[in-house]
Amino acid sequence: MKRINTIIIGATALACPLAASLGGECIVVERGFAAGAEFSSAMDASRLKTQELSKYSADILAELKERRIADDSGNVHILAVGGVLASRYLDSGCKLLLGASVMSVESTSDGLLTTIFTPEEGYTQYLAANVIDTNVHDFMGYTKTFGVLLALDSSLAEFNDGEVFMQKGRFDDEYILRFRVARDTTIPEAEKLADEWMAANKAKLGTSKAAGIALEFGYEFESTIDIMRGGVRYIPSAAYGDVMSAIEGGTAVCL
Amino acid sequence: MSLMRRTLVDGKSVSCDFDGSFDYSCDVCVVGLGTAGAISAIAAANFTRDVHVIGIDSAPIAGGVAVAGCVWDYYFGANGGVYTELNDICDEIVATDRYINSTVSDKSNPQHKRSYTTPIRGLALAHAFERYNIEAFYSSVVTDVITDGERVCGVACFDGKRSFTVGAKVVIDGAEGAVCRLLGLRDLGGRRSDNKSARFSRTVGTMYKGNLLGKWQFCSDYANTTPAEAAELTFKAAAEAPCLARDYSDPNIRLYSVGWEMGRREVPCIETERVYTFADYLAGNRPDNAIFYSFSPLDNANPDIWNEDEEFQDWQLLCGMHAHGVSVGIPPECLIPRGADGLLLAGKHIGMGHTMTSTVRMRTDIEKCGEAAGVMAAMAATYDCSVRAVAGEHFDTLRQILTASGCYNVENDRGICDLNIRDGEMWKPCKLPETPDELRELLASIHPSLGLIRVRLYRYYGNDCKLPADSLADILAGWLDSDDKLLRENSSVALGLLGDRRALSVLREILHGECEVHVYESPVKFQFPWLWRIELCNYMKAACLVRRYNDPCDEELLASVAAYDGDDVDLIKSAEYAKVKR
Repeated sequence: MKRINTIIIGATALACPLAASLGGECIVVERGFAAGAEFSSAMDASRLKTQELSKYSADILAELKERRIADDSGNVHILAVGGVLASRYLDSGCKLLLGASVMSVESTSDGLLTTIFTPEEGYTQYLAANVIDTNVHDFMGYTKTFGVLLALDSSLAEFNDGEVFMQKGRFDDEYILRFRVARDTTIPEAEKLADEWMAANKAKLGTSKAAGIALEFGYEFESTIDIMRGGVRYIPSAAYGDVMSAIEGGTAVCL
Repeated sequence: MSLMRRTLVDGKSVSCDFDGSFDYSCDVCVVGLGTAGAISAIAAANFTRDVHVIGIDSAPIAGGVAVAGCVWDYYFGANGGVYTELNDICDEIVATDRYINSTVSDKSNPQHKRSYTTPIRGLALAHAFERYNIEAFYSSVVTDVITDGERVCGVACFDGKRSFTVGAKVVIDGAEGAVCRLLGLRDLGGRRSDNKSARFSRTVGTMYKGNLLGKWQFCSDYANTTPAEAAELTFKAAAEAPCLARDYSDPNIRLYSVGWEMGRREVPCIETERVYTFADYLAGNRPDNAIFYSFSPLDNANPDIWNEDEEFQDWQLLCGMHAHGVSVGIPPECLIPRGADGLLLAGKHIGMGHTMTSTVRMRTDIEKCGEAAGVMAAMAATYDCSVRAVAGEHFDTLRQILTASGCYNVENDRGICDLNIRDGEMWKPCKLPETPDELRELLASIHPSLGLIRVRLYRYYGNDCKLPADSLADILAGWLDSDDKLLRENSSVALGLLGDRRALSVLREILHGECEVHVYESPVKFQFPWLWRIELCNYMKAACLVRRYNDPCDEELLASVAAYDGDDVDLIKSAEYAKVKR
């Protein structure tokens, strides 16, 4: 059994400043292979918070603007944000595990016994003083969304008609169609739903075409969450309205 | 026999009792719905339409690197198989005009017409799975394998929220050996010198001349990585790969897809009932029970061939065959892991070994592999027999089914082809020299490759060849005294390929002389710029061969070659060959 001060579940936007703060005292366990996937891979291009940011967040925003990933209005080329967060994770000095699943967290007298599975090594147990889970879970109240990246038409209008809404990206012809879907929907099922909607709603799409799809789901929350449950602290990154708000939220977490 | 759960704990194999109660049951369970696994599922479900197939993938979508990995473009690979049905669905989606497609500017290349972007191919797979009633569990990782003695009869999975079990008559490991690793089955490792495997690459979807293109960069060298090292590599690739680390001022250069996972050019092959390696191919072994043929050059993206296996060096360096592709026939035993029943492999990890896997990796070839595994699994489940029996007593039926779909097609056995000369949708088979005169003419030229590979394949001449296998070495040795410098040098390389010590005198003569490089451009500039320009450098070949002979007399000569520390790239490479001990 290995010992570690803190296990952070999810290499999310919110977890990034936490990892920076904890450095080698934490291990970040990510089920997928990307940083900030709850926004970047989910194609959640919600306009960025650009004001009243801590230095950590402001530095990231400055890089996003310098590299023209984001503009002054907060429009963002969201697919490029993952790389920026990945570099911050590397700078943090944290230990990283990707493609890894947290199977269980059990509260014991010595700490939180956490079982992690990786395909290469199977099950490994860690004893941690703290476990912070930044992913979304079923006991939380949220709406799940699926994104489709559109391109080629810069005249589209953002809209929100309940089941479907459109967000503007950084580029003139970059738009993200986002579909609110049922909780048990898979990505392939969501893709079929989106295709059927696009076939039935050509007028709303002008001459644009679908260029990409989200490989993770996005989430909408009424408010942010920070609760303890079974010894684990749950602070879902996706509960923040946009990726910069999530990063800023992470800087404000008291450890 | 009692049922057991087998898995790894801290990298070590462990097992415990299993109560026999499965949450789901099926005939065929496909673990890993990537390029091969997705086709396995379709082929198995298509066998009789009564075959119940369950698929499991750790990714949120099926299709592997061809979908979530942005590896959209395929330029080699043999034609035919059930994957063409999937391509047809993709074409129907393209015809709706709702999606930007991936077609590159080289419209003369039919292979590129089979490129489809993430949304198109992902949607096509969703439709195909629905058509064939394939039940799929996404974002689910296999954590344990359930066995009844040596027979695999199911898997346990975790989807982030719950654990569940799937019972199956046959399990297909399409997950790069993940199931086999949990069982503790042996793999064949990487290259022999350092056990390393080929590079990772990072691929993203970008726009090129109005079409989407999968653009990739290498993000590692040959490596064996721990999970922590792999994680660091992955995030470094996300942050630093030029296709990702750029400035986004230009709206024409932006991201449309970012791969869910980094692409691995090679995964360790599993030890199977028959392991068919590239050394076997060069030694003239040709399976008479192939179930599909592949077509590709050996992987040209190799930064340090001096550390490669000898058969790789023979082909790529000594014979200079990097502008040639080769067809390889794969037998069914390469899909059957040793040490387990009820289990098949589908993907690059079949029993081929390090060098062969660099030529059996193109999408349509891996799809054929998947189809073969799917049909074998369905047959075993339907006939209630072992997968070994499918490869044995039921082989004729297997071959008939794969022939009907086009997966097995003897016309795909094209031997060695020149990649600069198109032949319909494929490439032109080469005519290897068949007489001593034809061989001499090639070896006296700056284009000796086909002559050299003929010599290397001397054990497999075929009925049409008049080269005398028994006295070939003597013929070559006779040319060592020729006044023709190229004939003398190329003959010494040919003799070196045979391991004949008579080559040494001329090989040493080469190393005592200047490093001469002959550069020539292919007269037919067809498709791949990196193949247009061929170089012949006998100095490099001599450094490689003299080192192999390991003669103490040559230590000083090799040391002088190895000591080169200037800027000449060819001499630098020669020095590396001179350093490597075998």
